[in-house]
Parts: sequence; structure tokens; C-alpha cells
Amino acid sequence: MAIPDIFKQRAQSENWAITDAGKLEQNQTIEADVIIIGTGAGGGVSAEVLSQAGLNVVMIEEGGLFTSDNFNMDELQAYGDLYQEGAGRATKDGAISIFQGRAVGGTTVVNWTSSFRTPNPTLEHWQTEHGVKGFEPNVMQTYFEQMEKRLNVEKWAMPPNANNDALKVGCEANQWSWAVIPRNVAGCWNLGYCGTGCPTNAKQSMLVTTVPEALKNGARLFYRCSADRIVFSEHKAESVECLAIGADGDTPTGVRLTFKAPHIVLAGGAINNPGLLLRSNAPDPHERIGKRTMIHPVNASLAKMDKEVNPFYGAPQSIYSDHFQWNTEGGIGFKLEVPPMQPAMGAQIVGFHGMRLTNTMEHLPNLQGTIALLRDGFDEGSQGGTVELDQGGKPILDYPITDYIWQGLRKAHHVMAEVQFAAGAKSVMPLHHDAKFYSSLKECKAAIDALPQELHRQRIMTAHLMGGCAMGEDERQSVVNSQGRFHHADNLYIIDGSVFPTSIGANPQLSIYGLALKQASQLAANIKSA
Amino acid sequence: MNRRDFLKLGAASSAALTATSLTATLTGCTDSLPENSQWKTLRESDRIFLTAVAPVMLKGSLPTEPAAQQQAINNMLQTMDLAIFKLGPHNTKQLMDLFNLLNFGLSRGLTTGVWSKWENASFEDIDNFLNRWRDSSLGLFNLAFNGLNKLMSATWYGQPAAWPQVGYPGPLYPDILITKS
Repeated sequence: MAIPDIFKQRAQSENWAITDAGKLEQNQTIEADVIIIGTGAGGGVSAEVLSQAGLNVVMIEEGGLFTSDNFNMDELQAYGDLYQEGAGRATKDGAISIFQGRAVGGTTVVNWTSSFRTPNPTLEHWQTEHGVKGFEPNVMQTYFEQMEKRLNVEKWAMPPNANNDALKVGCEANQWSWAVIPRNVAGCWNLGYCGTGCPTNAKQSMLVTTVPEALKNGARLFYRCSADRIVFSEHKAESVECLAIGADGDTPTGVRLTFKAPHIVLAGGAINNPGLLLRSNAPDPHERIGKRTMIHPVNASLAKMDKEVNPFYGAPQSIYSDHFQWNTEGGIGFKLEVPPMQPAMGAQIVGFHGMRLTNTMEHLPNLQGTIALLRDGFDEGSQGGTVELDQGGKPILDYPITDYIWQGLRKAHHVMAEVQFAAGAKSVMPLHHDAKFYSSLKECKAAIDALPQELHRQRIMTAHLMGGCAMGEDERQSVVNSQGRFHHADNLYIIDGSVFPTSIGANPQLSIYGLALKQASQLAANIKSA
Repeated sequence: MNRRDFLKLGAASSAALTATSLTATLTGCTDSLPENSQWKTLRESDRIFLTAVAPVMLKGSLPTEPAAQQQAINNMLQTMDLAIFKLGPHNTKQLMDLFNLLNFGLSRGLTTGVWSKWENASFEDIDNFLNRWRDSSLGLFNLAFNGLNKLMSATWYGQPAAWPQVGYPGPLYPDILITKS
């Protein structure tokens, strides 16, 4: 293996304390200063900050520990091992596919590395509309700067791959603004397989940065350890009850682990955080847990280009456009980006079968994809979804597509078709059951206006799960306060993207890192001064 | 249960497939995997159904020579079996409910228009069934089609056997970056 696997090298030399809960044969009780549930963007940064402060930290992760030696650019293996519900998670009615990570390092192991600061209008909206304090743009700037430095976030300096270049060319032709995406990579090989786990450790995910740093600082990691419930007493979270998960990644072994600490940090992400709190019958007098869950609803447009694009190779995202993000004329704003398309991902979004599928896939090297990410949660017409529990206690997201969002999806289809034709597309297909490839912009736009706005026919996806445990000062409107402390238990903190009161309007990882640095630093200071 | 009742259920609830599979269960039409099976999720009846559907769903991409085609489908089913397991208990159950519906003669005939057993169904019958579900005005059938379509197309195109035809050379630097287990 040409790339050293740090979990094989450093684990021994630095004496990392890592436990596969699935291999334990007896129930255990573990005590620490701080328990952190989840090792993604929120939990990873929190673990680094709190362990650096000298606290005895335990990290709990439901997913498996997969490291560079396991990342073989194999889509099916990655979807099965590294994603929630084998990449088959969906909303309650099945209409929206949800891509969310599930492994040590969380979604940061499989995201496409786009690293944006929280836009100022979003931070200002939280302040004026959601009673959030202390997230003013000038305050947050320092946290974003620190995390950008920590994770080597820089604008992608190499030329964009052809898939991304099409977005640039299409925007320029229409005189729409575009820009280069900052990425959290160090020594990136420009492979294109960020979504299946980085095989070169170039992506500065939590797996290779903050989690190792926390382990070096003496933090303990328990993986395949699923938080089943938090035990509450009055105004306090007493302990976390976990189920050990076997080597298949899904089946509980029957062994239970109990974690006790004076401070508990919840960082399991949107959907899973509200799920855990609901399973735990957490105090929720105003029924706010799980409400206003945001997803940046995504629709997509496929183009057959006049030359090879090879959408499976090269940094997956390097160009974006916010031209339609803030100046929205009353509609929903959206960001334009492109998705990488390896064959399985490409095939399953097409929605055809038989010869139409085969003929489309035979054009794979010439296919260009464009996606629009809708900025939900900023308008009366977009209040997000609700996380509830199914009969087995699994959290499930009920997300309605409102008229306001339907209008946005249609507008985005028009814009994406305009980008693609301007970039040299020979034909364009909005991803919808009733669409096909259209060879002129005029024909395509007429077809878009006629597409029925129906669930299960319009292809809708999300890879950005936010909210459901909103922060704010008014406990009738929120779940945690502006410091991340649960309104109804003084020692329980929620530090990750689930506390965002709206969607971000950008890929959320850096927003989570900045928030986590701020909240965990404050928590460490509070604990040390107590 | 007649077609109208089923459709009413379907329109009323996203759990309607469960209701139909309950009928199948009550009438003793489901089977379960034998102990020590090499399969994690797919029962024999499911494999027969998927084997019948694959040449239609993937027309033009499977090998045409019968033995090679059968081998390609068998390989895909093994990959799919694990992929379904990885979807987790909730999604696996929903899929199994769908398979129950498709394997139970009455509900199969009423919802798909295919009245013969899957292994005897013609290419045209199966193509009609897939189009009927895809183009149905009922979201529930669109959803079920999407589920089968995504599962089979992702599984097929996720395997190296499918790559030469679509011009995908495979991952970069495999000799350096792929770690053999």
C-alpha cells in the first residue's frame, strides 16, 4: 500500500485507545469528563478542542472505523459501509433520497470537500428572525479562519475538471457570476473519489485530523456503538445507553455500554440527534425536537456534451454559482454546483430502464451533470421537515415539498438547462420521469414548464441535513440556546449542524466546523472555570 | 382484496404495500430464508423475480449469450443481496413487503398485469409491468418502480462487468491505491 494508513501507524506509536464495541463480550460502564456522541464535523472538532483543554473525553460512533486502506474507490462497497442506511436513506414518503455519512469521521469521510463559510445573510437572518445571539459575521470570522487553517481550506488551484468547467463556461456565456470552490484538501491527487472515502488521506476529514488529534490527547473512541437513549433526571442528562453493533454494521450483539459524564455533547447530526432525543423521551414542552429540519432540496439536469467530460474523474466540485442565491425576486434561492458521476451514481439517478438506460449510460464519458441546491427555511413557504420515530424507534424525516419549493425546482431546471446549452450541450434532460433529452433550449424549456410537479416523478435528493434541534434564546422556538446548551438539561450540549435554525445556503461542513470550534471552546472554558 | 381496494389503500397511505403484503402473509404466501443460507436477504422467490426482471430492466447491457447472461445475473444478485442488507432493517422490510406483493399471485396480477409466474412471463409482459408502474398516476407505483430501478441499475453499473460498455476505465491508479483484502 503506497499510502500509509495513519490508523495503522500512529495508533500503535501514540497508544490510541480505540474499542470496537461489537467485539466486547460483556456489558460495560465507562466514565469520563465529557461524552461526545458522533464523530463527524461537530463531534470531531469538539473532541479535539475538549481533549486539548485537558479533559478526559470519550467519543461514541455508531458507524464502523474505515481508513485509507479500506477506501478502494469502489462505489458499492462505500455506499454500503460509509453511508446511513447503505445510501438508501429516504424521506418518509420515499420521495427524496438522503445521502448522509455513517462512519468514524461522519459525513466528512464521504463529502465532496466544498468548504464555504456561513454566508453573512444567513447569520444575520438567524439573529433577526430566530433570536440567535453571538453569531454575528464579525464574531464568526475568527472561527472560520481558524478552521480553514486547521483543515487546509483553500480555493482549488488546479484547473476545474471538464464537468465543473461546463458550469463556469455556461455561467460566463449567460453573464452570471461564478467562483472557484475552496476545498479542505492537502496534497490532493485530483482523483474524483471523495464520495467513496479518500484513498490518499488528502481530504482533511475528521477521520485524519481532529479524531486522531483527540486520540493523541488521550481521548477514547468506541465505534460500532449506537446511542440508544439518554437517561434524563430533572434538568440533567445522567448517562448514555448504547448498543454494541456487530461486524455486519447493523445487528446489535446484545452487549450494552453505559457512558456517564458530567457533560454530554450530542453530535449525531440532523435526523439522528432528534431521533435519539425522541427515543429518550427528552423534555420537550414546546414540541420543538425534530422540527424545522432542512435539507437543501436538490434537483439535477443531465447534458450530453459535444466532447468528453469524464464526470467520474477529477476534483468533484471546484466551481459554483451563487447568481440565483440571494437575489431571488420572491422565490427560493439556490446554489449551482456539479456532482461527480461514477457509474452506479450515474445509473441510479437517470430513472430509465431498458434501452433508454443503456443508451444513456453509453454516453457516460460525455455526460455533464448540474445540480441546484435550494436554500430552504428562509420563507413562510419553506418551514422544513419533521423528524419522527417509526415503530422500531428509527428516526425518519417527513419533508413536504411545498408550492414555493416546486416553483424553485422548476426555476432551477430552466437555469440549469440554460447553463448546459450555453456550455456546449447537444441535448439536455431535466431529471424527471416525464422528461427526455431535448436538443434545443427552446424545446427543453417548454418541456420543463409542462413537467408535472409530482413526488416520485421529479427526482429530488439531499446530501445536506441541517436543523431539527434549532438554537435560539426563546425555548418556545428552539431546542438549545445560542451556546448549544439544551434548554431542559443543563449539562447536555448539541454541537453540530442540527442546531442551524435554517439551511445554510452553502455546503455546510465549514459552517459546522466554525460553530463547533466556538461552542466547544466556550464549553471547555466553562468546565475548567467551574 | 380487489384492485380498487388496493388502489384506495395506495392512494391513502405510503404504507399500503405493507397492507398488501399482510394479505400475502395471512394467506401463507411468503417464504423465509432457510437457516444457514448463503443469502442474507433474497429468498428463492425474490431471486426468481429479479432474474426475470433483469434482462428487461437492463436490456442491451447484459451479455446476450444465455449462459453468460445467467452468470452475470447471478453475480449481480449476490452483490444486490448484500446491498439490500446494508440498507438496514427498515428499508429491507419495505423491499421484502414489495417482493411479497410481487410474489403473491393475486396481488401480482392485479398490480402488475402479469398473471403467469415470473419465470414464465414474457419480455413484453415484464416491460409492460415496468412501464405501467413507472408511468402510473399513482405515486406509490412510481415509488416502487424507482426502488427496483435504483437497486438494480446501481448494482449492475457498480460492478466492473458493466464498465467497458459505458466507457468507464475504472478507478485511477488501481495498482497503487487499491488495497487487496
